[in-house]
Amino acid sequence: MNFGKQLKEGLITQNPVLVQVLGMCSTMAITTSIMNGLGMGVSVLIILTASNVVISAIRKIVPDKIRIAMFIVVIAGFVTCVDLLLQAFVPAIAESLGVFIPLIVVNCIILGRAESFSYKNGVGASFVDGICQGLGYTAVLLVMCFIRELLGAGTLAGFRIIPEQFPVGILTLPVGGFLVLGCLIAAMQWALSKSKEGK
Amino acid sequence: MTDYKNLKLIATSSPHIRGSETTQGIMKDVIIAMLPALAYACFNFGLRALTLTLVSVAGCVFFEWLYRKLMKKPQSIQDLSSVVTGMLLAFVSPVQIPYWMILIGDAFAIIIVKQLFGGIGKNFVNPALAGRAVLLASYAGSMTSWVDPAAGKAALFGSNVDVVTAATPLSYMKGTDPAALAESFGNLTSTYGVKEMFLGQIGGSLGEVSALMLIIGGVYLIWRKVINWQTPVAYIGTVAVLTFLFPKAGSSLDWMLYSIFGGGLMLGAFFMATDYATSPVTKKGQLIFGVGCGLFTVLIRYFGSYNEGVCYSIMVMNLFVPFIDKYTKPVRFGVVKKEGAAK
Amino acid sequence: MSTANKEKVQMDPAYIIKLTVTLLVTCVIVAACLGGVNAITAEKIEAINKEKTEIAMKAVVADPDNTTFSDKLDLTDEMVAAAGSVTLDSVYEAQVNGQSAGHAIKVVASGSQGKIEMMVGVDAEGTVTGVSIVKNSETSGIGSKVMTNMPTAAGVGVLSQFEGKSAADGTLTVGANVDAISGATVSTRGVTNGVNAALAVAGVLG
Repeated sequence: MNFGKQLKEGLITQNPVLVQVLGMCSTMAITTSIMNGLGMGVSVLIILTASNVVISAIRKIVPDKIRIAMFIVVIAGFVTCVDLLLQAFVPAIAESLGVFIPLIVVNCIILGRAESFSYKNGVGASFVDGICQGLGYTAVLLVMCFIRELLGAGTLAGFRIIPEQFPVGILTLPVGGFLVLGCLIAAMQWALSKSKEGK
Repeated sequence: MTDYKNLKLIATSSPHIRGSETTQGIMKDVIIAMLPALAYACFNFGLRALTLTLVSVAGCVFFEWLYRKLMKKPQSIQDLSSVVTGMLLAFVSPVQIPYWMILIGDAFAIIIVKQLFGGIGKNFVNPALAGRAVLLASYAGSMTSWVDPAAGKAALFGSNVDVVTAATPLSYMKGTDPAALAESFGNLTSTYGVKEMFLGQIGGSLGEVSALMLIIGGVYLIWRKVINWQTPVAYIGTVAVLTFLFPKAGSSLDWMLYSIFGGGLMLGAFFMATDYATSPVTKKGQLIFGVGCGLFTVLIRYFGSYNEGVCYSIMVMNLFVPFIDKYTKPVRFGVVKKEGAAK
Repeated sequence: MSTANKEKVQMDPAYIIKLTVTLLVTCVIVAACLGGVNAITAEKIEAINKEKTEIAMKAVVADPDNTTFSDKLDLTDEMVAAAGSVTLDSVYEAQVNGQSAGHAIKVVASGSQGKIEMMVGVDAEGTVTGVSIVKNSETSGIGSKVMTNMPTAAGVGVLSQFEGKSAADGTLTVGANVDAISGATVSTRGVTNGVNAALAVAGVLG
């Protein structure tokens, strides 16, 4: 495992959102503004990396039978920490992300990586995996936020780009989340199959 | 790759299409059938009805051409289906919405709903209705204010802020409080007689106001065997029966007549619910489809938060089409109903 | 670990104890960490929440600069019953120079798309001094006009029109003594229900 390969997997070929189709709930719900996407992405990145490292470190002493329970306890611990810290130091983001921060506990990306990667690999590789997968998730969130905020609300990070009467408001509604995500997944699959053909 | 240029709409064993007919021929008939309603819209709302329709048609054709060009697929604009989509989208929009707005609807209808799913015949909901749904959700204000035809014509250019708006008949028929509803329905019947409702001298979307013109168009389509009578009759019949049996105010007959002549029911029943790609293939299926549309329309009008339910009810029923087709598919000759047969 | 082996150890009491102890130890460690983080952040979060409520309350009283607020009052069954179908969230007493000057009442009413959390200020005479929306999910472009206090056809902000209303006006009803924003009747009705409930609660408080 080398860093470059893992990074490529996280961002493109094994992208958690667009290829593994994990973590849909938060992806759809919070991607209405760049700041939300950034807050959520970074939170997941931190929690994923931390839990990956810890789970990898304790993987030898965790009995097989109760590994899922152990994962959940570790992940829930980190999520609650991040939730409290956000509430205390960046209350604006904590408020707009609302219940979706606590819900990171059951985010499939984190449990999925724990089960499929860090439980089987060393601490170093797991750390890199957490960062790469987290970056992949954050990147997709930011792309979705960019599209939905710019076209749906006409702003970027709060600054008005398109005059108020023009934006296509449906994109900021939940149905817009499905639409944008569907188009992104389609585009990703198309690009992946194109690059496969090229080889 | 399929030759889209000569693709006939016979992807499935549609019984209502003759082998010699082309998609282009069918679409031409649909366009002809819509012309009376368009002519009436011009008379009712002014020339802007025509320009808006033309812009919408141009937009749809352009987006279809653009997508096909960018994706390096064979061009399909000759089949005229995008012209029909453009006309329908204009028909279900208020006449005074800005031109750029309808272009956004066009882009959504053609690119996302139609082309991303593979082009004509492959879309699973009616593109024009989906375009309208997007516009309604995005620009609720513009999409729900209607020019009052009695107060003057819509301006050819400029925005929609200055027009005199009128409530549509359906908005008078909405409410939960019986006393208030009886009063507002009384206002409606005294403002518009049944004759005005039938002819279409009322506020509403561009192409939906005149029941008479839409019926003429619909009858033409049935005569040309482009559509079957099953869907429109089942649809309008269901709404008529339900509103006659459960009037919310006024006499049963009045309530029923205003229900079927107001709003987009005629337009939806003849031109939207009969779209080949998104309606069942068998006649029995089309009956079920029509009844379902009617049921949802009445439910939305009675209990939903929107005044009009035609758009959403057709879209909802579009999603049921695969199931309707599955259960109304005729059994092939010689096939015994499977009863414990080895799989 | 082979499958046969697994089956055997499953029966082993020592193995079960090992499972339990491992899980327990993990939980204890995680809980300890959380306790630490909580100790750092609790005070700050408390302060932030208090400030937020305070801002919402200040927005609905007549004289925001000189008003202070009590802690949350205990909700009695009578108050909850007075609110009827609207959920009563919390009640604070507003004080000017230590004298009671009415209440800030937080209620949760139903709008067209979901809950509308709103703060209603009612002075000592039972007159509404202000209405502000804390949280809502009304349709952007229609219901949101109500939430941002857009003017009605009468030219008064849809939320501002409640100022000065009291129980003496009878039950407030959209169309009768409350003007709705065109197209947003349901949202306006939701807010009106909230104000009615707040007035009823204020009536119980005296």
